[in-house]
Amino acid sequence: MTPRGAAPASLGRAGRLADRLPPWTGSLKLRLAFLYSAVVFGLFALLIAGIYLGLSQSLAQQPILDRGVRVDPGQPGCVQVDRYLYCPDATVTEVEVPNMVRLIEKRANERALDQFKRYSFLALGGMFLVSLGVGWALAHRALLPIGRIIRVARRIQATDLSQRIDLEGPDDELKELADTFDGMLGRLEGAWENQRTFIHEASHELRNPIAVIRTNVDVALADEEAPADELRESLEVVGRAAERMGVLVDDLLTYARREAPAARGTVVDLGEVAARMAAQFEAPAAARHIHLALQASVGLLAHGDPVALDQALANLLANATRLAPEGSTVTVSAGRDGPWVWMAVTDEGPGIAAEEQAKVFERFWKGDPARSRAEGRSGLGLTIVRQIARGHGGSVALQSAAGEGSTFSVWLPAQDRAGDGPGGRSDSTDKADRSDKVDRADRADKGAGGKGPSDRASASANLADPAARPSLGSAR
Amino acid sequence: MRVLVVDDEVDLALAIARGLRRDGYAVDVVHSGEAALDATAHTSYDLLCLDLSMPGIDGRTVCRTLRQERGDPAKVLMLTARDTVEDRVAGLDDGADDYLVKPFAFPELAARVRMLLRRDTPHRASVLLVGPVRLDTARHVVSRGDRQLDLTAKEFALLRYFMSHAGEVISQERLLEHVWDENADPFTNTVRVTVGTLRRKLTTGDEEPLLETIVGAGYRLLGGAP
Repeated sequence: MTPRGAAPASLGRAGRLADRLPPWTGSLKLRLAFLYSAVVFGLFALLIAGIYLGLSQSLAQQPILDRGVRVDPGQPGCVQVDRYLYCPDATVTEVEVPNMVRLIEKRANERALDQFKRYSFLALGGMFLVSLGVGWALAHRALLPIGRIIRVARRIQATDLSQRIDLEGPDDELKELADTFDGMLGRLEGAWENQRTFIHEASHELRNPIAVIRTNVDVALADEEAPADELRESLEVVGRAAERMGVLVDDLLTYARREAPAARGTVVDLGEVAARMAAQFEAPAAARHIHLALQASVGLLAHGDPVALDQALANLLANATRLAPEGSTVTVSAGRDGPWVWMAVTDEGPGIAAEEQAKVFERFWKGDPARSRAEGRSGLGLTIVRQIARGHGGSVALQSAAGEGSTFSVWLPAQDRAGDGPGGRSDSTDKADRSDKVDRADRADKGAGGKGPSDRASASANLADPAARPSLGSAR
Repeated sequence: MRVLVVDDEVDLALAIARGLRRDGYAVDVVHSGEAALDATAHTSYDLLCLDLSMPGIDGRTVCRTLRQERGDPAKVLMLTARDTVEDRVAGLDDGADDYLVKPFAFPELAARVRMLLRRDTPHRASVLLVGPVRLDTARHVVSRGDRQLDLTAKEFALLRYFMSHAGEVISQERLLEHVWDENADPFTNTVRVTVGTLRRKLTTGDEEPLLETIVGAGYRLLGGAP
């Protein structure tokens, strides 16, 4: 904790220092070059100073000549033989080194030190210049990728996020920075593209009812003698189109609002959600002679927004009660499976063809466009369900076979106790659970051919069995 | 002039048809690309108002089939809710003659229909002139000399067709195909009756007859372009 706490203070000092520096020092390259130069110069100067000091000490203390000798040739003197002087009776006696010699020694030492000092200063000066140049070159080289990052960042505009840095070179920190930046751009581009497609699709969806309204009004107004029943018919058409637009705009708003992560409000019991929604859809189902069955226990806890979860199940129920054949049964169920709780709606309706199953959760998907229009639907209902599930860290699944009905289910991470917050479990456990769950959803999405929640539950129970997991993992 | 409106948006297709019928066109309505290909195979339409995005066979496919496989000369006015440049270019490249983005004002659609229908005729303006007869397709006003003619929608459509093909001999079958819609009963003498009333309105008193009957072949409007 201490280094982390200390960091802002040192940052603050650096910030103040940077403020006091003159503007021309603003270039990082220049500062790096100076820093490099100063460090090299300082080290070199220390080295030279050390050598000089040592040298001057040793030179001063140790005289070159320890002692002198006196040679007395004696009698009868010396005879030169070849290049040697031969003195048979010579005597050698030790004597003090004369002062004159000591003085010469001292002078010689001083001169050597002086020379050394002069060359040292010259070398220091040269070293300073060289280190400045090398520092500049190194800083330039090190900062080259940053220039590239800056140029790309300048080129990027809100409407064109396709630019990438694509930094080449060794796997160093700058490459990591550039790659991180590229990754961020990729995510932004994806989100932007998604948003743009959504706006495009939404405007397309809105244009059709507006075209209906406008053309009907134009045609009705153009004929001054139009009979009353024709005008009435036009007005009815306009009313229908306006109603359709209203539903669409409502769903668009819901969808746009749910784009933000779900507010993780309270602990919700999916069993209670199932019971509440089943009661709410009792009347519309009865109007179409559909039997609404509830198979849910209580105590299926998940953390989430109760309004959003109500809406998710309501959307599924609205689809089921509308599409199921009269006299059939629609089952609302909820249960728990390992670390997951789920709620599902099963109908005995026409089912969804395998090739369509992957698309049902996409925006503006409509099984039968003409019928959807006639019923004033937006094609966003299932997309909103998926959005809510994902916003809660869960997922949606569909099991359907043509002619045998469909089961739509919403899976959420289970909450063990009412007081157990999302942080109650370690991150790694959460992740493992999540990937496990995604596997399951994928398998279900690919149309495993199951028939209902019981089938699903048994399959899930099997998957939840610890022994079954490794094989599931290796299948990925 | 016979027009086929193709749009899976039923309320829109019906409104367009009603408006065009009031302008004196013979209008048929279908709601899918499949039905459009079927209808154009049996009837030679003068113009199609074709929705671009429909489930199943879409407008572009219909247009391509008409142009590239059948060589159908019908004009195609593409209606679409997509308005990007790429969409327009793709539509026009598939053989559409014009492009209208939803939502549109009906008078603009009507004007574009008129423009497309006179594109291949010598008349480049919205007013047709044959001899002493003057027909304003935009304002629905017909006159012979100084005399204003009071025509029903069907008579107006018939005269417009005659004037667009002035000097040609036009058979009863051709009139039935281009001036009447699919609801006309080919076994009644509705063509003969309407031609008769139009002829009476065109020529009163001692005026020169303009519409002659060629026995066994059909009718011809005399005069030609001035």
